Amino acid sequence: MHEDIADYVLKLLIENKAEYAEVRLEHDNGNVFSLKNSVLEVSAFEDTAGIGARYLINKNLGFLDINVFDKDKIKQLVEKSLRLTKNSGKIGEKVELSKEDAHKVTYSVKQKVKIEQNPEFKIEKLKELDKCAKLAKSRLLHLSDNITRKYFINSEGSKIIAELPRVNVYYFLTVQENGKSIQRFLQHGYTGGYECWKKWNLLEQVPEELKALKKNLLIAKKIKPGKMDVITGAEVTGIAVHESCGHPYEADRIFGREGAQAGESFVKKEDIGKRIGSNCVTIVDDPTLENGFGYYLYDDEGVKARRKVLMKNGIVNEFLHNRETAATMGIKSNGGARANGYDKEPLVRMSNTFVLPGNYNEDEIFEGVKKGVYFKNFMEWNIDDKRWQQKYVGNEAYLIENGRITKPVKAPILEITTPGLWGSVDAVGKNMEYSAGTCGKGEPMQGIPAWMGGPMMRLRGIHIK
Amino acid sequence: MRIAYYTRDKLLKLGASDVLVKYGQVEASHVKFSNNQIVKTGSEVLESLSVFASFKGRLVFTNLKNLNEKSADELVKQIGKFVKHVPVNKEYKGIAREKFSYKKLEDCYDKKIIDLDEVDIVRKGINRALEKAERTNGVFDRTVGKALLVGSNGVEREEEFTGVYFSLRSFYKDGSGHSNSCSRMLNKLEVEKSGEESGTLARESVNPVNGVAGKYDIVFGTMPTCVLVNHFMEHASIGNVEAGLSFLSGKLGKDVGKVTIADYGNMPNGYGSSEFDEEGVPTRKTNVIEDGKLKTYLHNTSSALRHKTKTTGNAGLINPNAWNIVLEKGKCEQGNVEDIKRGLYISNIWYTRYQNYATGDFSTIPRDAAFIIENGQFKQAVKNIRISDNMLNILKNIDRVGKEVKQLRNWESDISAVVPEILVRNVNVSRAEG
Repeated sequence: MHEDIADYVLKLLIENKAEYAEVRLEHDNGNVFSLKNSVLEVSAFEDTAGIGARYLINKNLGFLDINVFDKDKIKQLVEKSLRLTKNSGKIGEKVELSKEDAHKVTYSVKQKVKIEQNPEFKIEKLKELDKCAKLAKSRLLHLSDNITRKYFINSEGSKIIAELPRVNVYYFLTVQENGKSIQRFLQHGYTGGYECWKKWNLLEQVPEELKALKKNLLIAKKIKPGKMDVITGAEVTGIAVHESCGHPYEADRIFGREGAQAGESFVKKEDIGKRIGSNCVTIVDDPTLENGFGYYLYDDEGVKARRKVLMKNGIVNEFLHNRETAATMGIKSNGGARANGYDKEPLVRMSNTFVLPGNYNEDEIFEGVKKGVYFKNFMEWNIDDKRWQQKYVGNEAYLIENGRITKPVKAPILEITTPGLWGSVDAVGKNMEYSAGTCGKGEPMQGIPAWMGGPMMRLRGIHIK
Repeated sequence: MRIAYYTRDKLLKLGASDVLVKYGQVEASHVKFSNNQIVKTGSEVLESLSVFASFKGRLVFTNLKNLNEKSADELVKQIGKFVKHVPVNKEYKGIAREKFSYKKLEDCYDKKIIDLDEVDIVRKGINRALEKAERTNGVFDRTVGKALLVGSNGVEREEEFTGVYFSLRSFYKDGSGHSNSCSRMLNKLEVEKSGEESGTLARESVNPVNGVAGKYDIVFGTMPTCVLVNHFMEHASIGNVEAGLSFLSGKLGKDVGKVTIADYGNMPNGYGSSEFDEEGVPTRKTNVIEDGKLKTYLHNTSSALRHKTKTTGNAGLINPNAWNIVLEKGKCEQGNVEDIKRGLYISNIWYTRYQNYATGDFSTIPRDAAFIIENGQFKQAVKNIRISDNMLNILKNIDRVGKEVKQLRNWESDISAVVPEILVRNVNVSRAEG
């Protein structure tokens, strides 16, 4: 693992008068398989390792990364990086980090069905999935896994060793009938081993979904635009949580640090305590959720992870922080710093973000709807860079009349502001479901594994197109 | 770099029928600024060795972590074990086998980029923007590197490269503007021009009104045009066509508009230029859409053989990709909106997502400066709108192309493009209600 080289980098930075330094050594073993229309197009294995280090000198922030474990080359890079960072002080921000406890800890996630298997085991899984998706004319199926081993040390005495195995699957399916087509994309992710395959239950779910999509493709009609109720399935609840609650609560956006690309936020730092949603909505981000795709126990600044209650009964409760944004607000970090590899700086990120369950069962949620649309899942979605106005287009979607599903609806559009969405929720279901995403942020771009989800929700009086 | 030859030879001894090994070396620096201050510097040294091998159609893609012979020996053993479990890919038709000659790229390597003052460059960009704006955010990237490709097909070619990229977003009250520039040569990087453009856009876009849904003729500036041509080219990759993820599927030889869009792999000063593709085929200029007709998809050798055509020099061994996208310039003066009765000027877009890749139904969100155009004149700045339309319609309805082009990248589009402003007629705009 080259821990000695990581120790050497930390020593070099301290010797060169860095006021603070941290070093992350990461070793990643992974496999990728991809099946296109039943043909195995990608069969890959990867083994990468490298070191990323972050430090403060004259209160200016520097980062360096290298995958060549040669002390001379590392020394040259450190010297070069220090020159650049010192020079940046001419117009550099003076960075403060929140005071945090040092941790010495080792943790790992157990795999019940090991990732370290021969490729046949994984290729067979994809073939099974392909076989049960034959109703789709075009099929692109992807399965990947990796085991990341991290060694984190900092100048405050932390030493955190982590081993995180992850499995990820996604599929793009195209159903065609009578010259029309409909597509379905879904991603699942899991921190752990291949025991996830059983839990995902894809071999039953995918044929059912495709059957419904094929049927709906022929008979679904556009809805007459107007105000009506909406019921969101867990996938739609999840994407809305991620986009319009998780992202705008990232404190680095709020302070403008990500303004160039990922954008800023409609939420301001004074907004703690402000009502944005209805009383029945509580939203959390929880990296400690067992087997969540965004699972971790210590973040990439060495801060102990914990559940963050972002929206409590509709009211802004806390933001996602790293040590820099926490210091700006005069508080402690809540452990939201993540980097997608040794070669990237940690940014404020989500992990597993979801609406907490309510008291309603599914029947009760439907019973209360005279006229509405059930968005079981979605394809197209987007949101502006302040996270104010968003769009979700239903994929498998149905008209609800007098509490019952009556017929399929073609691509209903929910295009709404963030307070409009969360303020109109009047019922939250009991059953939790999660889907996975690779969340993008930063320049250079960092895609990180995230879970998003929640239960079914009912929204009142929404304009649907 | 000897390790690349060593690994290739070991794989051939193991019985591989096709081998491609690519060595890469990068030395880079990065400066990120926010609220007019540098908030982070980055310095990087990376080496990589990517490996592709086919054993009579049993394919393996991998990499060598430690670049020494002992590790290469271990990797080759591992590959030998791995491929035994991999089924034959019957759609794989091999790599290029001709003997190629290469031409050195023009204006793609600049020694001045090896050692420069990153902070001074950033300061100049910020200062120019602040002549009009209040706040600036952005990045500056500098990259120096070399690549070597060796293959079982006799390819043994090395190239050196440099690149610089500057991106700046300006804010003034509730207005914002964004501009960027990328180049292989330092003297062609437009730092101060980017600062001025973004600052001006920010200043002029204050007090935006909420937009109204409907049909508009839209002038897209170079930033959103870069995103749109990236989508056109992504859908022209045969990999996406085969996967059912392209609105250009079934359109070969048919009219898809009026414009000419090319991939120009060996373009002088092209930010994405390379002498050769991933299998050693020399890159070239390929008109993918010529005077509105879809002439070809982007191919590698294997996909070309499957579709009874020739490679376009765009390997990607899995998915062929464009190198530099060029939208052929037109005759229109920049900012000419004389004949637009009800229109919009859009300076940037983001978050482009599809409801159906095969039909092209999509939406995207204008961000930064956007303006209402009425009866041939720029009016009020506008906000909170969304373009909700079909990508094939957008392509077909490009009615006018500007005569000033710019090389740039966009955050959500990987491939650099040389594009002018474009006018697209009759575009559907929606907005959030409630």
